[in-house]
Amino acid sequence: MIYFDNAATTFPKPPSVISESIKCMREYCGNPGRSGHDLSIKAAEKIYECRELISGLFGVHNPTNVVFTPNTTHALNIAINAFAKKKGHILISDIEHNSVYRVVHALSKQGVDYDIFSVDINDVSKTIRSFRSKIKYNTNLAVCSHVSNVCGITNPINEIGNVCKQYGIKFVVDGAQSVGTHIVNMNDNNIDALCSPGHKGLYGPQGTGFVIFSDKYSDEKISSKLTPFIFGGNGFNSADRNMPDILPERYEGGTLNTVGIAGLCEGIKFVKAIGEETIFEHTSMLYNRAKDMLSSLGNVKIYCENIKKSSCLLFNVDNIPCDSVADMLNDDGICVRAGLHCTPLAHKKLNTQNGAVRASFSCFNTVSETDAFYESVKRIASNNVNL
Amino acid sequence: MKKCIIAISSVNHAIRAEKLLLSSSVRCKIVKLQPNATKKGCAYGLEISCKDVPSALSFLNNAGISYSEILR
Repeated sequence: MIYFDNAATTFPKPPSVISESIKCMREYCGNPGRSGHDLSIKAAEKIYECRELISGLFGVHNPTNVVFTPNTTHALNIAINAFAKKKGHILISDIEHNSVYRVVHALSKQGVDYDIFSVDINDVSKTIRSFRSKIKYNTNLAVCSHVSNVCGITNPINEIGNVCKQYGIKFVVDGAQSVGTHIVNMNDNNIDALCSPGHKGLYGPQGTGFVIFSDKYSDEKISSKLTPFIFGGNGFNSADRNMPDILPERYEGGTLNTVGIAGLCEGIKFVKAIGEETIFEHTSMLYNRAKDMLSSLGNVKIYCENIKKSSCLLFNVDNIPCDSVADMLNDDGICVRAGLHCTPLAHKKLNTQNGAVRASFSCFNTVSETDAFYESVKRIASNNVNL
Repeated sequence: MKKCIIAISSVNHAIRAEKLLLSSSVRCKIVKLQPNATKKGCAYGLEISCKDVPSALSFLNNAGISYSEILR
């Protein structure tokens, strides 16, 4: 089996991720932050270790600014709702996933306004011009993905962060497709909150994700102004009816996924041992190899082909519905994802409203797998010509 | 040696404080407090020699780690 659906979730996971998850289940899976017995404390210490690893990834000094979530969508719901204001205005880009688009759309029914700025694939200055042109007197929040889940378009988060700083706009970044392959310093890039999965580029188990707030939110006076999102118990000041003012407990209601977070710890160590840049070089090499080979097929359309470095390739074969192509690849033992990828905005921008096929690579994929993928697409394409 | 407890509601902040103090050569241990030990209920604390409390509080203040009270 060849797994090219790593943008959805990476597979396989490193052996250390699996073994630590099992070890946690067997040896120390108490409920963290609830009790004083050894298992509860050990679970809390393992989770704190993961907070340290995550904060280190993004140049944040305080590990308690890491809030664990089940996935990126949950993290984005927390972050966007933390900063959204009634009668306020939110800017999002035109390549956003539904994990952003649906959230701001839902907020728009509660008196929050939003606009969409245009990302120029080839020209950062045009993107920034579009962003600036959409800023209104009441714009208080900007949300954008760092890297698109559809075809690797990269948003200029450093430049957007600078504009946000000039205007006093809070900045939330969706790192679903960049964390683990791109180095991000939240303080340098003026990012207020960054949302990420644990189960994609960090090679952790599914059911893990997080939002990390920048260092200024370590101040209780500032974190207490963030709008709570999840309400419930967390072993903290239980006699108080309000959620705590401090992070991470302001957003961590209910039992955490200790097993998943224990595995995520090892996933992060795995990524750090190889290096984010090395992983991205590898996936980009496979991307370029696949792109070059598929481009040689006359009836295969590649999208965003100007992108030089990416972990995912978007394409269609002639007039064959994308899901049929994915089914035929599956028959050949190749896993890809077809459709709209929960990102109708980006597909509208690319004029692929009927969907497309996405092949996405991880550090475990190889050149020979890429060549086998090409042979399979070639067969599908030539069979279609012969029909 | 008389023991005191620095009450820190959050287990995460208690672990952060414990790491900081241990790295600063101040011996301490995380303990779970009785629900009635603090005004707001469930909390954790750092058990510490009472003579080390002033230096420990200095380290915590410098690191921006808040505590609710000192239990003697």
